[in-house]
Amino acid sequence: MTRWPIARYLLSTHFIFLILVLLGFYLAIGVVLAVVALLTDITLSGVDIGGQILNWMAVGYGFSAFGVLTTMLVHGRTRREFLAQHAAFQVILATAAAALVTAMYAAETAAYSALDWGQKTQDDRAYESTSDYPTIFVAYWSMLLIWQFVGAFVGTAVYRWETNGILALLPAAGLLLVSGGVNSFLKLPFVDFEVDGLLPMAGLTVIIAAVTWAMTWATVRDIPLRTQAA
Amino acid sequence: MTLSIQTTHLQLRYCDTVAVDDVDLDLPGGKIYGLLGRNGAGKTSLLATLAGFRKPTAGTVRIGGEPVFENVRVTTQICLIRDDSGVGDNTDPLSDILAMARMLRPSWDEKYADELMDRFALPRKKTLGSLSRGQRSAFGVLVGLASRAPLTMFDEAHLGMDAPTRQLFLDEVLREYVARPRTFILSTHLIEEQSPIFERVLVLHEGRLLLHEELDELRSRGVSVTGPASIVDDFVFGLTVLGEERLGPTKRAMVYGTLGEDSLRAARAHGLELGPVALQELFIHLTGGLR
Repeated sequence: MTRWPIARYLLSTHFIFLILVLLGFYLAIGVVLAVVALLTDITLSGVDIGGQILNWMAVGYGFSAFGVLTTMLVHGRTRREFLAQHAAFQVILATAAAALVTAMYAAETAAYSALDWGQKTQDDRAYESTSDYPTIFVAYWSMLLIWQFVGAFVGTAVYRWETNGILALLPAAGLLLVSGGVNSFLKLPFVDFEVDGLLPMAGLTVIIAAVTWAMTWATVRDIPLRTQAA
Repeated sequence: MTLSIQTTHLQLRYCDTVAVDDVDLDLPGGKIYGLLGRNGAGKTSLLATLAGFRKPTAGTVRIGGEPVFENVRVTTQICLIRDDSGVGDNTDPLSDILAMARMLRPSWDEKYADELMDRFALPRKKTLGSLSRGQRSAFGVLVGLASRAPLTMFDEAHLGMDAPTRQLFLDEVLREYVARPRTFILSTHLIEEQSPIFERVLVLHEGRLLLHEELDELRSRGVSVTGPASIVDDFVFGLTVLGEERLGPTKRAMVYGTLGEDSLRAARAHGLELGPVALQELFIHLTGGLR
């Protein structure tokens, strides 16, 4: 029997598709920048502005986890396999996507420097500049991982409890707000703490992801596969 | 390879509704079972617990001697195809769903799946969501057959199929069963159309197992009597008549129960023709008659 079939399936299909989507996303940013440059001076990092959308893309993809789960059950796999292998896939995806985003910052820094454009980042980012690659990588990895995990938790909760599953938004919002203090995405004024250093940022990310995964486990471990409306 | 099915005091509840109530099953492997029941009788719920799609509220389910829920050794040997199929995402092309099934199912037969794609005339490049209702059902059936799962169950999987496709489905189940014996369960409301391939029949009623019998044994519970209308009327007077059909002066009455020697002699003397009763008539009678 193939080992880790769900993860293999996700890596051979979803992973490639999502990385292509991400590349297309940055290509679109490049096109927008080129058009804007015709009209005015560029002073902001396009890749950094794009970072405001990535968390919503991550939570949206995570939300779709319930669809993967139900399909896997129909094909004879178990909830336990899903919980382990889907989470492992999300870690791999977050790592690869964070590496890609970091590479985009590097490419943008080179291009902006050649064109003599300003590359200001958004306020309250965890990184000091667009060339602080280690921090960029860890901050994005943290954000992509936590938002995917939270999306998966809410998606499976809504599938399981239908309307009542919306209550999952309360702990989900709490986790995202706390994560805002860790990686500085979704940094709201009342989140009054910051994490200094890459290791604490990575460590707290793992803890938040583990808490979210535990809640997903509690939701999924005996989740019934409902009959869909035909 | 075939798988036996045992349940003890199986119960499944949805809030206040008891969908499956104290069902004890002991089904040997390597047979084709027909699962019959009225709407809401608990067929889908029973199959869902057998496949590990739902955890029983009470009681046990053992497939091939092992518990099924969250037991990957067992769930990978079970395939339940429901009327909504759920075999893939609506945006996925059929070829991608087949590739996924190949990765997930240890017993998947790719060559057989390809043959069935041609036989059911399904377009590989089209997405699941773009298929007609009948084509989606045919694709679900294909996934069930090509899974080569030792326990394969179809829950109204034929919905939307036209008559030739339904016949192809039944022929394929039978062909597959003869070539590679496995345990099949077909849940259906098309009793007369699908019962010819059943070996045993299970009838659920209001969540409980009403009967479990060999098809022939069940059919022997009734007799059809055909002949001139007035003679048939006299003959069946006082018996439990399940249904009647009339064509000109000829009448056919379905009677519940077996006939004694005297009745058989009387039928022969009056030139009445005796035959097996339609399973559907028996089913309607056993589950409470027309209402």
